[in-house]
Amino acid sequence: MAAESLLFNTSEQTATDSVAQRFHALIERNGPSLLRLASAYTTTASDRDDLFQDIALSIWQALPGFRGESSERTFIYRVAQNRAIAHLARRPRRPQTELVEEQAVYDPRPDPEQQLAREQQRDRLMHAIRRLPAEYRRVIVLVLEGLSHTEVAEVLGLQANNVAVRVNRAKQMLRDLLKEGV
Amino acid sequence: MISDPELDQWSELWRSGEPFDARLAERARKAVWRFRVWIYLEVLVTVLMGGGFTMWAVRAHQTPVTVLAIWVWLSLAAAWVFRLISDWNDFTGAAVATGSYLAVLLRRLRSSLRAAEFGGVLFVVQLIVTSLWAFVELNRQGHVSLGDYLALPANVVFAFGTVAFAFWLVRYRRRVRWEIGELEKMGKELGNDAATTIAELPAVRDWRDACQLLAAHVVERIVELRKGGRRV
Repeated sequence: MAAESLLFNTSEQTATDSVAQRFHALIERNGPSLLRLASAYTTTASDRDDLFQDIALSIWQALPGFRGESSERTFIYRVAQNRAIAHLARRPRRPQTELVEEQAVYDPRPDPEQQLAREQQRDRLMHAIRRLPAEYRRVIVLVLEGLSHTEVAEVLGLQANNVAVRVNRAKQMLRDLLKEGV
Repeated sequence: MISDPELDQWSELWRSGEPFDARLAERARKAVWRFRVWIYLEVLVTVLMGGGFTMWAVRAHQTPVTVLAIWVWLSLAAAWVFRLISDWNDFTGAAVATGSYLAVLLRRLRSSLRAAEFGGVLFVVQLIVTSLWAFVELNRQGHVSLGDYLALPANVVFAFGTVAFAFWLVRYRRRVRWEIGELEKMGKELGNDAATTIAELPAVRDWRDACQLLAAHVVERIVELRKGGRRV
């Protein structure tokens, strides 16, 4: 641990926005979003955590090249989406309806029944998203994270009107999948 | 922002998942740390190996040892070029449009295939050169028959190592080819999204590109250090 802190401290000595500090801050701020994004491209908790780690490592690798030409959010999601797409392509195809183990187990809030119903709804939505083709999945995930169409377009390198078309198609597909009960 | 009630509802549901486990952030931090340590170790091994053989050559004042030291440096340089070809795009491609990223991954995988083949050839050449060198050196110190030489424990270990390396190479090629196929499929699935130009990215197609990029990288680091800023 001493060696670890030594390695990080060397980069903290000079610039206030050193890569190490920026990296930690980015992960702190965007961890939950990145984890949700990873969930949309994986089927098990361990796979999701591995993807999260890969995304974090990619962010760290890409960070020195980030000069603020785009917003931090665009940068983070772009790296994350790219990594997730590569992950999706490189993994053997599995059925997309498997449960992410800990989602069914974790229940930190009161009113267990209501909470359980909500978890089930969320699971169904998550499974439906996982069944979407990649070109729609990556758009809808960003929209659900609260990005505007312009931001989504910037992250994915698409035209804004193209994003709108895809969002509509993705919505329709999600509705159908949710009706089917996934 | 989202003004669609249905999307609002899904968005709210989507974001209401389990809380973020701080251990994941710690795990990511450790992964970065391991990655950095690995880079330092590679540099350390290069310096120790290259430096060790250079020191030996300087002290020994013998032509064969000097030739061996030069050979070691050439091998280390080849290993670094191989590494750069394999990994460079990981550093450069992550923050670009998906189409470019996929194109970069494909290019990197194809480069890796070529680099692996080059590595195989290099290994064989290295084995022959090193074995010949050792055989000639042993014979200078006293007569050793070829049979006795081949039966030396070090050579037996080398033989097993060569077989293991050949197996690894075959498996690696198969794996990389499979990955290329899967990424091409993904490119088709993404359609027009994957058709973005990759002209904006530094190209690493062969050892010349890798050397140029390495030189540019070193110069960039020196400039950064002279400015007083540091980059990880």
